[in-house]
Amino acid sequence: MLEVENVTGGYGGFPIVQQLQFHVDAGEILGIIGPNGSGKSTLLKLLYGGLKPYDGKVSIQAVPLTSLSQKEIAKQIAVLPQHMENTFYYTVQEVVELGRYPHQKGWFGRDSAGDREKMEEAMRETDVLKFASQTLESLSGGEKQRVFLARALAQEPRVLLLDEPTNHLDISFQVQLLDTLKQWSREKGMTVIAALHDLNIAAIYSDRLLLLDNGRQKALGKPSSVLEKSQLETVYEAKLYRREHPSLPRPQLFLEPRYISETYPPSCIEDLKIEQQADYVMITSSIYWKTLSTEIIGSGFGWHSCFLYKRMEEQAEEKQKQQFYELLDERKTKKHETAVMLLPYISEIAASYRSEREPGFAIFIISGGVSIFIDGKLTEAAYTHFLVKVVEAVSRACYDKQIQTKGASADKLDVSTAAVLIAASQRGSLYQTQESYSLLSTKIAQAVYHVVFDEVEEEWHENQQL
Amino acid sequence: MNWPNWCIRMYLRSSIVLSYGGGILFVGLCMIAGVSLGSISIPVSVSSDILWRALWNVKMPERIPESDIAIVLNIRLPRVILAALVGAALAAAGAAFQGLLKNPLADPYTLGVSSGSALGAVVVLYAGVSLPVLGSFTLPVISIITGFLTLFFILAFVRWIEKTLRTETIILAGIIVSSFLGSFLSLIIALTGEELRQIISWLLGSVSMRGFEYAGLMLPFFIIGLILLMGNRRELNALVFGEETAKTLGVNTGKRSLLILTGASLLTGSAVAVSGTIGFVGLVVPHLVRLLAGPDHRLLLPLSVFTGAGFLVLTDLGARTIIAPSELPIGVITAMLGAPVFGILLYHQRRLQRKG
Repeated sequence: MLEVENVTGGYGGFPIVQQLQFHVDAGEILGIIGPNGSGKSTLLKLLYGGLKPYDGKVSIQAVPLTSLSQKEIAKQIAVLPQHMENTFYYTVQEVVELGRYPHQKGWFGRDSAGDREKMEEAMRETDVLKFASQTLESLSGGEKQRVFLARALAQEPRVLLLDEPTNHLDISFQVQLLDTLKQWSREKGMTVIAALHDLNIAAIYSDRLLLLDNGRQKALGKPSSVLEKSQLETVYEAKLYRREHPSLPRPQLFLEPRYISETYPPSCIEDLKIEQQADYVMITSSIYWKTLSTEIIGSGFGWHSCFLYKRMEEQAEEKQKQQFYELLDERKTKKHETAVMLLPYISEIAASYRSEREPGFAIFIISGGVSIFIDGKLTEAAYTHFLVKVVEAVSRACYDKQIQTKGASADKLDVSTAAVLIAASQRGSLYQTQESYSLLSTKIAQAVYHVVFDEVEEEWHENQQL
Repeated sequence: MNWPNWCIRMYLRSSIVLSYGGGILFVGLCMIAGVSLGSISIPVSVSSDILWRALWNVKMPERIPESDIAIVLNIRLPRVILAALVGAALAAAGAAFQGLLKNPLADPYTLGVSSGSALGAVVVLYAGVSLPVLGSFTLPVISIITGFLTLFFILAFVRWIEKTLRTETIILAGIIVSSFLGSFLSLIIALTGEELRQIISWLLGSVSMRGFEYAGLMLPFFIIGLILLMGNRRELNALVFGEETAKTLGVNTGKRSLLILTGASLLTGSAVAVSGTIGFVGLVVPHLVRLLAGPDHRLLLPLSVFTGAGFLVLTDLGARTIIAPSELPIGVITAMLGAPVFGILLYHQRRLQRKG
């Protein structure tokens, strides 16, 4: 469809983009990403013939742009510009009509019935038909953008070029615009090439991404391979985290600021306050802990400063959530800051262990729920590693106890229902490599084993006495 | 939304013929008024009869006095035609410059071509030269030539600065050239003695005592200039949204801008050469038409031509009747009459827009 061969181009003899080489298929969405000044806009100008390349060539359907007139190019390539100048009060209809310019011939160039039909269709698809006789001035930013999109569509292009189309748009308009583009690319086979500054948007909507760095083609391919953490960190000179989109096979990126304003207490472990009530136990902290929980409410990863251990009722899940929110209201804590463990019963804090030495960690076992607090920085991989180790330690402790007591019941701490929560303060020493965290995990697993073993023994004694 | 304006716009759009017809009718009525009124009033029926017969070259009947025929055909008609041509040329050039330069403050004199024409004319007046063959036409011919030289110089200057014709550069080059030439105008005015009054009154502009020859001299430039502009009216619509955008819509911006500049400069230069620098028409008439009919150049250009023509005929009528038998400079009247009218229209439009 569109072929870019070894293209170098820029302004005033100074090359901005150099030796770009790629092709775009019909119906494909190509996202162009790169920091400011990396040559995204320049590349787009080269693609529609707004700039002539110093070297190399751009061709559309195997025809070089240089052999086409501006009008012939406009029949195939439409552009949604980044800056929209407009001095006089044009109506929406008059603006959209300009999109028919490349298809009109002759000195008079009147609109034919076909032109009017195409205009109306373009305005209907972008939902601006209702504004047809209003002036552009009277519309909001998002509506104006749609009018210019209608103009581009009226050109009946094979290729649509967009320069940072989501600039100055609300999230809802961004999604609306990009969904429309996606739909056109699928249904009309329209090729879409967009310079995007939002990497997450680019990751979701692009079939392929082209990463520019200082005018050079740094990477080209699927979002999952182009949005590679270390590559982006060098290009953008910023610290990034890469995660997967919750519902799509696309990566998403997170920024980390250089300065964090939060202050930490000298020991995060000692800062944990435990409060025992008749039907619940609450642990509170002055800092937020990044937690991985296996429980229904607040499962997965989250940031919590309050940990609630509550008795599980014989009720529907919804009802239990309701009760939980009521309790939180009563305690004046926020639901998003609270991690909840629903347990078969609430006993006294059965066992706890606080490590004195570096790195500090604490283990709380409350009626079948195991919580581990670590004063350190864990990667998500480390979390899962700890989770596995802890579950393994619990089950071994139960199993060993069973052998020791010759099959006496240890069902109070049933492995299959054991709830596990791993919390880390995310400050201080970093546990990133397997080597660094396996030592700590072994230590924790041992502690968990002993605590569980002892607790089961106590419960067993209790059961014996009954 | 502005309903009355919208109605007018839809109405005009749906019947191009009607708007052209209305425009021609308006100009015709203004011209009849122009030949009828003056220090000696001639009834409209008589003057239109004279015009009608003159148009078809029919012999005048006995009942019409010879003096009336002479006043209408020899004194007033050339003046009215010249006023109409100059008004039409300035209004069309103004509309084109405003569109091309994307600047509502642009007028036919922005580019500096008029300064070239004016300087040529003033030099002729100052030196009192009269070239052989040209005779009394020395002034307008020299003026047109200097206007052209100025245009070529400005374009070469812009090209020399950068390859593309960027509007900002064109405006700046125009300002440089017109202020440079303007200094020579001021110098001549400062040095001049007895020709001062003549030079000042020429600069203020006038269409009187020029005869058919001036109109004839201007006509070819007027036609070529107008054809150039009308041939680019859709391109002007695209260029208003910026050169980059126009390019993406398929407009060959370099060539089209050059054609539009040339056309508008032809109109301006020839108008200045035959009538001096009449202000206000080229700035305000396009705005006035835009308020009524919208900014679409396909309608804006022809309607500006008609409105400009009619407007200047009427202001010339005012100029020679208000303190008759003396005449006021037409450039003074254009602003005196035009500014309040424009102010009222602007007030109405903006207020309605806010309400809408």
